[in-house]
Amino acid sequence: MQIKRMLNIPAACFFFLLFCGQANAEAIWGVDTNVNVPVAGWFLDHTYVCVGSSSDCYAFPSWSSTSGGSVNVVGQANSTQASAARARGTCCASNMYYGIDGVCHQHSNQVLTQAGKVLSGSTIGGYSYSVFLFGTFGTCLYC
Amino acid sequence: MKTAKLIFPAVLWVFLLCTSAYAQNTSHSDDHQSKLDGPQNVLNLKYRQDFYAKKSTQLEREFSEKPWLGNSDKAAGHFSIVFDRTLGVDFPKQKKDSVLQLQREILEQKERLANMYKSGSISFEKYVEQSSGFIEVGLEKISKTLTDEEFIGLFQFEKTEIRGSFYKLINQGLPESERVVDPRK
Repeated sequence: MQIKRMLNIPAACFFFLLFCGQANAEAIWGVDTNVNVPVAGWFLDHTYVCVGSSSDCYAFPSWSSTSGGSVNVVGQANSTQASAARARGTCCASNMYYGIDGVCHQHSNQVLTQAGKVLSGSTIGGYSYSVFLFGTFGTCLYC
Repeated sequence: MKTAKLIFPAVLWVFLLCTSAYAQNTSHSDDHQSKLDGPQNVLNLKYRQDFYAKKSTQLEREFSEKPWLGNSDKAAGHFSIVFDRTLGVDFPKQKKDSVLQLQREILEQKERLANMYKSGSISFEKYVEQSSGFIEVGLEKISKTLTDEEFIGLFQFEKTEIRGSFYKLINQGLPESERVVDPRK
């Protein structure tokens, strides 16, 4: 009986921790707005990211749109990762030089990577081209 | 005799378990490889996305431990991943290396201009204009290395749309009043 009880303690701890982990998990998702610059032939999509709720979104440049569009990728983050994602979303938007350190795609990836994700480039107009010039994450210093 | 009777089935079981694990492992690795070979398509899209997302995150972590690497090195590393994702890991190495070499040349020139802009030596318009010039030259060279299909697969636009492509990328995130006008237009 005593042994059985002892065996149950680690199991209970495991499920408690698992429950806590799940309860604190927040979704981080990237949105492809499919809004493009009206140029002939090909277009470039604007992207942004949200953490936890659709009212907590981040875009680059910071004034650019954070509404509408279709969800491109979703990841799960614990509370520490979610806080880091929020900090990154705000800090990188103010520290990155647009068109020099990256564009909205690189900024979105800076946030999404906190949940181990990056944008799914195949459906985002101009994504490969922006990675060609700035890399997946661009340059976000001092954040 | 009794011990031998026990040992034989035990050895047989271990052998069977090992063989089955090996077979499973081999088939999994064959399946993995087949999903990474060839151009990206509907069937391997999700698998590749997840696989290369992890690879990109891992690569960025490795880069953070090597602060001496320049932005060009980092961007080249990440583009190599995009290359594998879109055109497949079995893409001819020589062609891939040639594209990556041209990309590196573009990035080195771009980084030099970016530093000049950040230090206030040139205006944003000048940065865009000069970058656009060598980016287009580099892309033209790349377009000669890749077939039409490969170029579209990689960049998502046609070879005929190279001209002005950097302006389009930059103007995407700028308000109408701040957009940089291509002086050639």
